[in-house]
Amino acid sequence: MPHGARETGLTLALAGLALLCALASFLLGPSHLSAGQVVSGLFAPHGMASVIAREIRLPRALLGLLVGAALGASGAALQGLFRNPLAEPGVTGVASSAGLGAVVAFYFGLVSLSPLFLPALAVVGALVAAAILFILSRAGAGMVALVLGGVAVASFATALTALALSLSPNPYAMSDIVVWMMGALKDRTLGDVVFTAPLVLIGILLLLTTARGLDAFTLGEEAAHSLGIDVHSLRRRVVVGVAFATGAATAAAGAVSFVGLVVPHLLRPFYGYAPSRLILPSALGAAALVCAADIAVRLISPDEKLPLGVLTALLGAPFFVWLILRMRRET
Amino acid sequence: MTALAFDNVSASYGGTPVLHNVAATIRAGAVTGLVGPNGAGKTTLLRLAIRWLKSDAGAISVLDRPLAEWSAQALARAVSYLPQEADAHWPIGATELVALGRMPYRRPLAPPSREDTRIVQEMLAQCDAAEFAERRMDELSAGERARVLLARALAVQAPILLADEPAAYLDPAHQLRLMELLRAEAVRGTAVVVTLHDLSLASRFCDEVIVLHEGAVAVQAEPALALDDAHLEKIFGVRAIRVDGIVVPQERSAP
Repeated sequence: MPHGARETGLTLALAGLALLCALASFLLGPSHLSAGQVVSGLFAPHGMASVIAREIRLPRALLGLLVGAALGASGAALQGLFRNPLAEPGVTGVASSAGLGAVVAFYFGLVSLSPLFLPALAVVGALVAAAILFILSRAGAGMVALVLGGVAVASFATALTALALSLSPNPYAMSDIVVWMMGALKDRTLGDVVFTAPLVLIGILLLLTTARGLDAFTLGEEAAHSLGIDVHSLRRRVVVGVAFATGAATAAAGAVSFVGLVVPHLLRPFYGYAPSRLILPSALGAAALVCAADIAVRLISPDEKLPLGVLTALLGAPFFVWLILRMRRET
Repeated sequence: MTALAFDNVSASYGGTPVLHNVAATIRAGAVTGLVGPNGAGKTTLLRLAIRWLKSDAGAISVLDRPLAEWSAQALARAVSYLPQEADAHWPIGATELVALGRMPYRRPLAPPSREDTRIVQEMLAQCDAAEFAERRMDELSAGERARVLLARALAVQAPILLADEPAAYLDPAHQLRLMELLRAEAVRGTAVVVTLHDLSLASRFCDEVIVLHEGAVAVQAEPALALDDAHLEKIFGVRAIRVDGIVVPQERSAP
């Protein structure tokens, strides 16, 4: 089937692009090391190049891939579930709630007990938000209600996060939280990668199992049910998959918004609108985008005063508005 | 042959009773019209047959087997459902949409089989949709979309087809064409159940009509009997004239 072959080719190209961006992210940085020195640093037992390659660049590049893939797959699956091109971890409040979970882990000092608390509570936060949206969608709330519900969830999570900051007894903890909330991939360790990778991969795999069922959702839930799809199981898998992937990504990188919104949209002209075709390509495309944005952050401001999350929001928010205006014109 | 049977079935929505002791049988190879005023329970009856809703009491059988005994996949192959106000939530291609009807036959991760592809093409042609098969749903008119959606329901190749108000929102020419397609499907042996508000269409195209009134079956009979003056006046509050047996509702009768 030429159509299928073209898509496979495109998906392989996206995978290649993601790896290329991750490689560039690994090789580029403020230190004056050459590409060769960074690569050999990866295998050197000690020395400056080894520290930079293994402890700074490698975690950063790998987390770029993981965070992007998590957000891209989550965005595509949420859009399929809600049959709404505006659904996305950030817009739906899932990311803010994951953030709140992470802040709770910081605030109560749980992170110092075990670093595992950070991703664990972020996943719990994401799960709560996704569950609220899921209930809203079951109540038959339309497209606008769903987005407004997301706004409410996000505002609530942000308010509680602000309260935690305001009550924070320790200015250092407060500054930690603020910096982390802006969304960044710098100063991460291989330990962060180890905690993030399994959760993100489980989440994405779970989302991939929903692909065909989400296609049937194109006809509405009743028709999907009549085609033999277990609608309840499908919804649960999307909610849990998004919570794992987005929760872990947010724990690792803070708030990196709009990636899950923009990437599926950019890929639709190539893959069509069927949700099943978009989950994997969105994961790969978003992995490339986050790595590329993280490189851009370093190039625009070498002292890294421009956080990654701020850059994606600065580009993503106008895109979101443009998308709403375009949808209004179409309906 | 009885394709679908409801035996003293009662059902409710969130505690509110909707259907009371409904008894009805649906024949294979016939178009059965389900008519009744708004809120009479037409959609609820169809939803029971696909197990979207559970009945509170009574028994439902599909192809002479109790509904509860059917696996989800087997039921999906036996009963095809075209919901009310059906539309595509994403502007996917018409062919791609019709192919969704083959889902009950697809194995996980497997691409569509030759048989799937053949049936999709055949159903598109059968519903006069082949000429816009490559277009996207948002590029089609309401009448064209309705035909593609019907082709999707037919692609299931189920012995029972339940269509909930498929003719609503269509202009008269498209309404007639859609009803002709349903009739043709019944001629091929399918048990077609169609809910209708338009009594002219019901009297013209249905072999049998079930009149639901306040959650109960008022009458199940051939159209001339089911839609006689007494039923029309009592249940719908209208009088009618008849042109070649086709019911044409007239003024509202005095209360």
